[in-house]
Amino acid sequence: MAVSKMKKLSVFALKEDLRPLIAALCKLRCVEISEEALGSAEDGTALESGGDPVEKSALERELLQLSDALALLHKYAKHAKSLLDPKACADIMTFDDTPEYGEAKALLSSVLAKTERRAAIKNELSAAENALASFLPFAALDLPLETAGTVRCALLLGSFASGVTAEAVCAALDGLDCDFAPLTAGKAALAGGVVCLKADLDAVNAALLPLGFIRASFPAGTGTADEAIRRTKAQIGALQNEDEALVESLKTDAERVGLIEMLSDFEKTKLAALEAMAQSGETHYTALVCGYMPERKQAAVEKALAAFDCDYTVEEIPEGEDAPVELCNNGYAKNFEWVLGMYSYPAYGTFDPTFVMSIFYFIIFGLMFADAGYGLMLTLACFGAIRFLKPKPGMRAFLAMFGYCGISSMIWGVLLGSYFGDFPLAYMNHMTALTTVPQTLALWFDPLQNPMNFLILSLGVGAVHLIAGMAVKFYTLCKAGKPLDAVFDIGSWWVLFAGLGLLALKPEIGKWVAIAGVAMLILTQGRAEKNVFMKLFKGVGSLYDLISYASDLLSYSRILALGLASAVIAQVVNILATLAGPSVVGFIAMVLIFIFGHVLNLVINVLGTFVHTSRLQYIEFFNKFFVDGGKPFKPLAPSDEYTYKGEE
Amino acid sequence: MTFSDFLASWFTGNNLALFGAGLAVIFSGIGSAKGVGLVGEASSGLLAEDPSKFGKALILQALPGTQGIYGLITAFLIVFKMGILGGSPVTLTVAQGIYFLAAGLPIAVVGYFSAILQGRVAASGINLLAKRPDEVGKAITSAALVETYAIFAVLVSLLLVLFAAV
Repeated sequence: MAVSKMKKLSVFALKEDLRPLIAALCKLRCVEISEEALGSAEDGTALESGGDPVEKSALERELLQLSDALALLHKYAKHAKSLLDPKACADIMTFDDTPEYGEAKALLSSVLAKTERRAAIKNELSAAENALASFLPFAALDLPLETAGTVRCALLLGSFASGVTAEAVCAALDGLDCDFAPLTAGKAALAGGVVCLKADLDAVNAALLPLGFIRASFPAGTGTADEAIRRTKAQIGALQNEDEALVESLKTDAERVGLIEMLSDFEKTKLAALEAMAQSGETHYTALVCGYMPERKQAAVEKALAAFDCDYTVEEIPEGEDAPVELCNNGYAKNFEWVLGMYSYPAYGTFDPTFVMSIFYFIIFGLMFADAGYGLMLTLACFGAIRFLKPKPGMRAFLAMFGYCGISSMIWGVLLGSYFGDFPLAYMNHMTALTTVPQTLALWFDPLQNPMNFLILSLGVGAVHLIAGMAVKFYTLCKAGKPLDAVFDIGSWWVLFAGLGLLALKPEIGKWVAIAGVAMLILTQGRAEKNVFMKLFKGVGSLYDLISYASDLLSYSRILALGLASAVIAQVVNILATLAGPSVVGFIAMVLIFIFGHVLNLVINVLGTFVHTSRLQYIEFFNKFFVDGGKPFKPLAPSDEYTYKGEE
Repeated sequence: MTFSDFLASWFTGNNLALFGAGLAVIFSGIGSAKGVGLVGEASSGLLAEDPSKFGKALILQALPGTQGIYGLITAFLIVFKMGILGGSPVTLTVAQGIYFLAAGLPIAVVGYFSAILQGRVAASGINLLAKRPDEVGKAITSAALVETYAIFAVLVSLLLVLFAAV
């Protein structure tokens, strides 16, 4: 339950060693190479940033191609997982020494070539289809389509605007020395040919213009429409066949998608190393690599560095430098780190609240979503997914957290007597002949019958949560060597709270304890001021914070509201499910409505409970002590997007 | 029966209570529909670019839907207390009817406004999801802050109904 202690590492090496050095650090997965760390190590000497930008942009281009190819192959792949030998990807960093590397490269370029060809085919197909459409109106004509006329005569082939009839064309051409032959009519636009003397061409064109005549022009060698249509159809068929063959061959390639996946991880690792090199500094012959690592990894890093001709220093994090934050928690609390990450990591060197938060998260989630049946389903689903799907660490933590929360829901569900709402009772009442049905199944109390008890319980949990938050502040102040501040700022409030609490039990004592608390606040809260009036003013003003404590506490009433919400919806589902009574149809209806209704309620309320439990941590709890703004520690490591092999 | 008797016959205790139940469902439902719709409109633009963000967009879209559920619960509890769903139906006095009507109002009014405003916050959270998908938790949290007041309202509505003397 702490933030790992980090050390700053600076390595001076020969420039030619930079690449293998970074590869060695990458393998260790425990050093974050950072330009900021370098920045402060610089003592005025001009350093150039290392690595080759040209190489980097080429690599980025290749990664784009890889992600396109992967998206395509995953679409065609039959199996969700690649069938490659896991030994082949034993070490992704040396993938380029294996024969699979060449295979993967060849496969990639073949996939890319096929994709490119398919795009070209698509263009050619649409061109051919356009051509075909232009030939079709003239199918009845047995002249080569490119015929423009004879020595004296002109032949105008073309189509008219839609709605123009052959009669209208004849009428327009009436009086001119020409002949019109309609070729197609009916639903499609009218097409046809006009024959006239070349001398009359202008007059004919002028007469045809208002009819929306568009002259069709065909290249030499088109031949008759019939020939052209046959030729084009054959071309379209050939293109379609070629495309199908390409798709088939891509499907075969998809069987080997694992190769591309490994290549992708290999290139991503290479890019990460290049980026780390860009974060390092270089002179003509030497290189300087700076970064952060957890203290516990120091020995491993030193051992790796011993293989190089280099000089290195490991030092404490210098003042004013922002070291990245690595959280260090036990196996249970680790699963809640992502909830903290959604808010912010704690600043380096401050308290990591994950463990404390995880305990309250467990309690509050279960209380807000108190149902043994739902809890069991949630736990089984989450731990089942972890067991059988073997997800990566991020997803695993997500599932494990909800799995643990499900356990808490079960515990509270038993205490408060909720098993899929009041299903056992509804079943006994409506589906059996039992006459004496218990009022409640609760071991403690039933929230729907005693909502006040539940409200008090919610606020009680809230009070403990808030006081725990203040206790963390107390602890961090003491640890920072300011025990007096802790007593004044936190202790005074506790005295006041204790007094207010005692007022209800033993008013005589409570009154004096509360007054003592108020006095402590008035006397101490203005201690930073010099002027005695300001001291007093600030002291009295601090009492105003009582309102914010009260509003924080009341915010926990949402536990009651959300708890009642899920319980009441469950009750509605149970009423509907048992409405039909004890008959065959009734039982079938019951099962269907039960499954649909309770799954729906589970999904809606897990979301709501997650959001509001998180909010209680972020706003009410963290507000008391949390110092945010830590950057998560991201050590340089090989990419395992596809080649993840499970926990090491 | 005179016309005024006819009008007065509408305002029985039971009808007033049902009116309260109706208001709770109607207004929180309209609010939620508007809120969910707002987020849905905002998210289709994002999903056109990147369909893989559907899951996260869906969470944001579902958030303003809870007010409608709160209205439903309140209405259900009112109807339940009246013995219409299971149990023996009771006849309420006009005063009792007005009590239930009043109990339905907090979630009706606050649910309506908070769902729409929460929808607006969640819709702008879609922008955050588009640019920085890792930070979507912050968008969800800020949308959840708006819901707090609907929660307080439903709390009051529920407590009033649960403690009603019938």
